[in-house]
This record gives sequence, C-alpha cells and structure tokens, in this order.
Amino acid sequence: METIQQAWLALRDHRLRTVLCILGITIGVASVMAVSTISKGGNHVVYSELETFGLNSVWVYRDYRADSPLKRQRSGSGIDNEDYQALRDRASSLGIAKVSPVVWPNNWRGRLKFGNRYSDSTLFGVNEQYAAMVNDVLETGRMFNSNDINRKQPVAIITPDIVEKLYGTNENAIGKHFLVRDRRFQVIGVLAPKSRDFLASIGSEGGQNANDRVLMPYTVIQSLNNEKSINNFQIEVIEFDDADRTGAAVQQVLTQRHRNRLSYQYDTMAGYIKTSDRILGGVAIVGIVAASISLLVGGMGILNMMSTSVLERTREIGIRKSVGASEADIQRQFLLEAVMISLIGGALGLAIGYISSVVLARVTEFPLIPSPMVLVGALLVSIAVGIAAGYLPARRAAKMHAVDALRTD
Amino acid sequence: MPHSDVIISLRDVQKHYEKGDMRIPVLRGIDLDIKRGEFVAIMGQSGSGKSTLMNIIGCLDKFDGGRYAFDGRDVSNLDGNAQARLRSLKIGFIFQSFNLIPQMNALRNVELPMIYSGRPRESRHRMAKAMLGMVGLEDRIDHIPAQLSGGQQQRVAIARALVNNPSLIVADEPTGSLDSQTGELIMKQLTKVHKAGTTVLLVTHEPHIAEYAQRTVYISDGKMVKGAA
Repeated sequence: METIQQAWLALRDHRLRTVLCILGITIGVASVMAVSTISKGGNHVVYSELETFGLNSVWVYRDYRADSPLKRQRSGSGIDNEDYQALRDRASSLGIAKVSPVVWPNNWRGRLKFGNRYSDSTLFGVNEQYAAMVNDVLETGRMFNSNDINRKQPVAIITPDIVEKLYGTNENAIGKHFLVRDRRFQVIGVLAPKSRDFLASIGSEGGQNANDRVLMPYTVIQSLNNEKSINNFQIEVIEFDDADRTGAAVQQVLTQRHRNRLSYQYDTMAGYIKTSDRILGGVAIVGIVAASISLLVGGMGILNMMSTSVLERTREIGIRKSVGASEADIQRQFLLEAVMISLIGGALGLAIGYISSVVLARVTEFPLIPSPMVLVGALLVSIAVGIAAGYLPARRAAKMHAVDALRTD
Repeated sequence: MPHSDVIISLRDVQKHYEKGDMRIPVLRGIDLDIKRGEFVAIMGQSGSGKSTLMNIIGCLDKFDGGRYAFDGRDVSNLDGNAQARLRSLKIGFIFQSFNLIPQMNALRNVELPMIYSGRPRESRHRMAKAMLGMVGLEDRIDHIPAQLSGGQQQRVAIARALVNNPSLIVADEPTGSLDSQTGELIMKQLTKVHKAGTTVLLVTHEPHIAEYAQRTVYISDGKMVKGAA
C-alpha cells in the first residue's frame, strides 16, 4: 500500500514523461484489442455465411479432369437415379445423415415468367431434405414432399426477391403461378432471405445468388432436361469430422457402380472451413503482430523512462538504502512504478480499444463480440510489459552501491 | 572489556580501492572500540579515510580485511540484505548535506525508515510527528525540504535518524553545511541524543565541533594516530 502511494508520487513528479509512457501502452493495447475484436467479428460473419451452405456438407460430382482416356469417353454428369438410390440404401454405413440429388437445367435458361414479368433465377432440382441441409428456412408455405417428387408435381419454392420480381412487393405468393419453358408451376413456399454478402463481396458465394433461387422436385427438372441424370449430390454427414471419409466412400461407391469408367471428386465444408480458418487466422496474426509492435514500442518507452528515472534518482536510492531499504525494497519500488504505468496504459487502452471496436463494428457491419478473455488478457499483458520493461532498471537501482549513490549530485 | 559494554569493536580493519590495476589502501588496519552510550568524535583531514571508516561502521560499506563486531555480533561478512536490516533497526545516519528526499515533506521523510522497518501506518504517523516535535518542527511537518532552512533540514534528518530508536547515530560532518550558530544548535541536539543514552559517532575535521564529544580519536592516512595529526 505504502509502496503504491510512493510509486504514485514519483510518477506524479514527472507528469509529462509518465503521460507519454502511458500513452504508448494505451495505443498498443487499444490496437491489439481492436484488431482481435474485429477479426473475431469477421470470423463470426464468415462462419455464419458458411453455415448457409451447411456446415456438415459434402458435395460429390464427376471429375472431368480424369487422366485415363477411357474415363473421358462419355459426356454427361456421370450420376443417375440408381446411384442416388444406392447411396440412400447404404446411407448409415457411409456416414450419411441426409442426401439430396442436385439437378440443374441442362442447356436451357431458368427464366420464370408471370404475365409480362419475368425473373432469371437459379433453378435447383432437389429432394425434400435439401432445404434442411443448407439451413434454408421457409418464411411461408410448405416444403415439397416425397409425394410431389414421385408424381413430378410442378411445384416450386422461391425466394422473396423472386416474389418481388414476379408479383410485386408485399404479395402473398403462395398458390400463385409462373411459367418455366411453357410449363405452369405453383408456388408452395417462400424461403427466408439468407445473407452471403461477405462471401459474395470476396467472390466466394458459390456462383449463386442466395436470394434468387428456385427449389423444385429434382424429378421435375429431370423431365424438363429429358434425361434422368443428376449433376451432384448434396450430402450431410452424421459427424463433421467424418466428412472426408464419407466423401471418399461415396466416391468409391460411384466409381464401382460405373465399373471404373468414370472418376469422381468431392468437396467438404470441413475443408473450406479449414482453409478459411487458415486465411482468417493468418490475417488476424498479421494484424495482431502489427499491433503488438506498438505495444512493444510502448514497453520500450517505459524501459527508457525507468532507466532515466533510476539515473536521476541515484541519490534518492542511496538515501533510501541508508535508512534501511533492502535491495528487494528498491527493486519492488521501481518495478511497481513501471507496472503502474503499464496498467494505467492498459486500462485506458481497453477503454479506447472497446470504443474503436464499437466504431469498427458499425462501419464493417461485423458483429461486436465482447470477450472477458480479451479484458483479462489485456490487463495481464500490460502487467507483463511493465515487469519486462521495469525489471532491468529496477535491478540496476537495487544493485546500486549505497555509498557511491549518496555521493552523486 | 566485557562485550556488553562495547557496541563497536574494530580489529585491523582494512579497505582498498581499485583504480585500474592499482590497489589504493584507504584504511590500513584500524583498531577501535566504542562503548555503549559513548559520544566519540573521529577527526582527520579530508582523504584521511575517516568517511570510509564511518561508512564501514555504519554498515553502509564493506571492507577487505580485519573484523568488525557490532553490538557483540560479528558483522564482517554480512550480505547486502543483512546490512540493510541492521541499518534499518540499529543505525541512524546524519549527513553533511542532509540527504532528505526533495519530493517528500518533512513528515514523509521522517516516516521513511519506519516503512522499511515494517512499522504499521498509524504508529508511523504518530512516531514521526512526535520526533519532529522533539526537534522543534511540529509546525513544519508538511513542508518539503526546499521550503526549510538548512538548520531545519538537518533537524528533520536528526528526527529521521532517531525514529527507529537506533543504538548508534553516525553523524558525518553534520554542521559542515551550516553557519556556526545553527551548527551549534545541531550539536546541542546531538548532545541531547547522547544524554538520552544513544551512542553517537561524530565525524568532523573541525576541532571545536569535536569538543562536543566525550572522546576524540584521530585518523591519518588510513591509520589511527595519537593526538591531532
């Protein structure tokens, strides 16, 4: 307690110097905090957008780059309805929780017409499980069921953007119709909007506008295509960590079923997440290293100030020793001064870091994720910087020879 | 002489300074006994080694050869911390240049030794005030050294030296920075301290100051000599 008061008095004695040192630490801590908060927010955004593709997703499709000439013999997607049936039959042994065929329009454009209005949208032929896999939620209406699929019912689930383009805003679209290739479809459901803005902004939205999609029974698209082929499988694995194993197993099943004449490949969300973690982690590290350098400079400031202070107060050290201060007493006093500077700087840095995080979160529209870890971490780092910067000067003060110290002016 | 009567006992104490490759002797075998409660003056020219001797007796400095017993205990080979402890509890210093900490007021300066001896805050305050009262500075307790005259500063230093109730007061030219009238006042104060039972060791080069002591020893060129050199 007494030592704290003495440290405070000593710091007050050199106000400008102390304030500058505090400022150095403040800037360091604030920038480390702002960088880590913003990178955490960014991470959160990327994760929540990746979630719109399904975190447990595996995609399996034909590999056209196969090296064997034999395997290049056929055009086409290389997947058919029997393959789908085979996967369904062996789902649990393959680690599959859900599987849906994905069928795209084959050489025709997905133009939806209603009167003189139209919408050029991305059409997906899928099964009744697809929406749940990619975290699509219905705003109104219903999902198509296996009955609709088996009977090739011309029903569709559309997004709010399409509702607006075809029917104008605020319209209840359920039960309304539109034409695709002169066939009449009925709207049975409208999806809730999805955000992939951040991924879209870096060109990674997967080649589709999340809010301009039409889901139809895959059998319907197949009949419009005039062939029973499937472009790829959307699979949800039971265990996130088994994504690769399931992908490889499905790959093998398909290869065998097509008597080794075709080859297949797969992608997993787990793989994308790993990649994105690596990139985001790298960016965060660069940022934190850069911010840490300012903290380091702040620490140097303290080191410099304490060294000067010890030299200037040589006589005071001698006096203290002559009245009975031990080396430990002297060392504690100077260490405490250094830690006090860095702690005050750290606390101010936390405040400023928090404010700038709030501002940055507003500007970037990233969520602000407050973390007690950052708070504790920043204070611990401040103390550590103070001890590291104060140790050598404090040691030098403690080791001073009392008689020599008393003799200086 | 029975040990309990002797507070300071030096036998053949030697001290050298290293200067490059040269070893310059400062003390060449000092023998000195000081009895408990005695008031002794050490006199000598500047450079005679009297300040070094005083620092060794005050456990502020180390020496190279010989033995030193303080209060019946051999303190020849004490490490820095043990020396600090001894200074804290048993020895009070008074310097020519007062050596008060300029940022602290009189009260805090007097409290300082008690912080290091570990006395609780309350009693520290009380003791420091009482001591400042004893040297006649009760109305100056919140003045910093720059606001005090030389004599007042030295009285604060005396209060500081006495505050842990030491067995020994070491005064190094205590009047050297003061006019003769003020110096006399300070010497009267020191005499009072001695009368109260504390051993006082005075270092000076002025004979009329040494006269306040009961006994004067002379040092010249690092050795005790008989009579004034």
